[in-house]
Amino acid sequence: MSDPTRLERLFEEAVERIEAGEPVEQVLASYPADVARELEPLLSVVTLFDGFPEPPPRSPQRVAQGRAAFLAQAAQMQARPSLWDHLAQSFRSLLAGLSPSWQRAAMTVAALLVIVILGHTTLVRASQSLPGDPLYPLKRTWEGLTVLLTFSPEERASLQAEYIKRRQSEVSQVVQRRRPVDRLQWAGYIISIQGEMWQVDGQTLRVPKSARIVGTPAVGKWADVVAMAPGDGTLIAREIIIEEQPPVLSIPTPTPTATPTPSPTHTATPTATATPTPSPTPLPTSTPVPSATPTPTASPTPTHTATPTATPTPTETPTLTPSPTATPTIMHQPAVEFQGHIQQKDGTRWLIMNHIVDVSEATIDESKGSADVGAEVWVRGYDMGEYIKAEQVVVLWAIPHMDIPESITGIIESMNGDVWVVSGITIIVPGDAQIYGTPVVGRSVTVNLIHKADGRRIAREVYVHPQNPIHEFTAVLMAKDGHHWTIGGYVILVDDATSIEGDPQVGDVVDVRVEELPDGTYHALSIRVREKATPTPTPSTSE
Amino acid sequence: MAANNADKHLYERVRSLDQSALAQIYDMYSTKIYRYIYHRVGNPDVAEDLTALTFTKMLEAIHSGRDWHTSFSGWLYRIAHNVVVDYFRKKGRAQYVTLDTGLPLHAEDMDPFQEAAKTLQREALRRAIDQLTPDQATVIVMRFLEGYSIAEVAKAMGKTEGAVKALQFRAVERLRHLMKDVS
Repeated sequence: MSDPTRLERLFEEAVERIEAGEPVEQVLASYPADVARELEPLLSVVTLFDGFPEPPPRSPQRVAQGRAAFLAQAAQMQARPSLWDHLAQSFRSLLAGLSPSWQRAAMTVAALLVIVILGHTTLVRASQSLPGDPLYPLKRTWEGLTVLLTFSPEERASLQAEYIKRRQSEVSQVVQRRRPVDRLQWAGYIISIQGEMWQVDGQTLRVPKSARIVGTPAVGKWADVVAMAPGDGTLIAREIIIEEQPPVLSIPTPTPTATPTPSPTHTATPTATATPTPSPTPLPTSTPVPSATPTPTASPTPTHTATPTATPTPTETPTLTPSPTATPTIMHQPAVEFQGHIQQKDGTRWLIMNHIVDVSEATIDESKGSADVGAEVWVRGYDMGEYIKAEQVVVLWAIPHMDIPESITGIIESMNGDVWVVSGITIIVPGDAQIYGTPVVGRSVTVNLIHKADGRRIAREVYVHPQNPIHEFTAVLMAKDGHHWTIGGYVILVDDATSIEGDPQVGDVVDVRVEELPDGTYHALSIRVREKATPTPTPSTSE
Repeated sequence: MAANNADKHLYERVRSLDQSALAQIYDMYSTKIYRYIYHRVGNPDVAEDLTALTFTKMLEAIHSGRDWHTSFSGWLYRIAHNVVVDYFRKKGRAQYVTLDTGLPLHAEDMDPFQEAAKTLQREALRRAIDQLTPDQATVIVMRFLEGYSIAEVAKAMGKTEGAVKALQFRAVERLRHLMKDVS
């Protein structure tokens, strides 16, 4: 037997025969003596594995805890800055020590170096990249450089506004392409908040409880969002920083045109939660400006002051009840049309992209979906000064129903018809849900469900976990400590549910039947005295 | 082929620490890794802790770009093996008495002396497995303790069946020598 490959093959063959139930001796006897001699010590090693105990089942709670901890660790790692972030931070620190003119000079040199090192083609490719692409960090860095190298405040503001829009467009593309991206960043107005589901600049976003929210969220406020895209067309928020308005308010419009901009009434309410805006540069607003038909009546366009401020910015909340006295004749009012999201509805007064719109006489086209808060609509009407009198409202895009699959493992606490409570979570278990096993209150289950946008959890599959494993053994009762008895070295819970036969005393040999609880502890189902302890002879005192 | 593509896509998402992909991976592998580690340490609590540590090390490796080349599961088992070896290196086998937390047998089936001898033999075998290479240890545990076929082990480890047979043979030969030393 000199061919090791042959011996490997014969060994595997012998192992398979033993696994199939043939005795080792019989297997060895079927081989020539020289082969059997070589196989025998190897097979004896294999047989040593026979007595290894089966791993005890894992407790569902422990598995769930481990899973949650693992995912939390992963989320933390994602949030850790990358090497690129470190480099950028170092570069910024370096620049901070220079005078403005030297900073610009350094940035110009850096930009030229980037072009020389990477080449124009790479930069063009980077400009077309999306979050998750290898060149995407380069795109963002290049944008930062261009902003820093733009000296005119107006041009810089315009550039920054363009980049804000670019981020919004990138998020749309990531969602449409169902691309998994672990970190997406964009900013926009909060269009709606319905439970965990928010709309930020047209993107539907799930905001789980674990998401970090800085500031007080409200419809109409500006939100800087960091989210992840799992790759199923949804977005899950990780961090949202609420600002009263965009960090840059408006593009300094060169000349007021004949096109009037509807001017909603703004109630300035100072708020303590407002985030001071450190940006010294006014940026254009991303609020869509209605493109109205030009008319000769040139009402003054409201001018947003572009004064940089580091003081808390007042909240601008348009009131939905403009003064009814200011109702000029419609035919003399400038016609407007615009597109935006419904932010709020109060009877016939709707807030659409911060414009108060009276829809009482409007035709509302809901053929593409209902005109709920959050829906994107096209509005045509007349600027009445304090509000817009809508003539036509067309729903362009209704709120999608976000069904999020979830899996919950826990104990059934109650079953009331099709409404169950599993570890504190209410779940609807409809008739068509697949149920594996027999669910009863107190049993552990895993429920695969759909978490609807309205908050309901609808079960699709219910897996009833097997009952706790039962063990039987015989051992000496070593100690009794209230409900906890030590039998054969194992601490076992003995309670009213335990059936006890005889009068078990320390030292007795007992037959025990226990169930293994999910946390790995044991609960006695029955204890029977098999053999009483031999009484210790009492020494006679009379001698 | 579609399943392969789906797996490939899943593992790519794991590389980018995508939460839903990581959740899927955890559901797919955590119990397998737990069982693997339990066979190596013989204690469910320690096995749970080391399973968690294995997944932490997996995340750290991915985050620092030191992830798998060919087979994700083979790579994960190698991490688990190293975690077990590190555990005993730090703690020292001698201080650790494996109790095989299974309960004692029914009185009629039990020979206390034989049981004690078997327990010691199992512990010696575990010690010997620690001295195998990660791949050899994985093959031994999957093949003889988890009862996987050669084909299944090959698939899990991303190796050919021939390579697994060779690993198995060499591992058993090595165990034979190590056990001889023990005895």
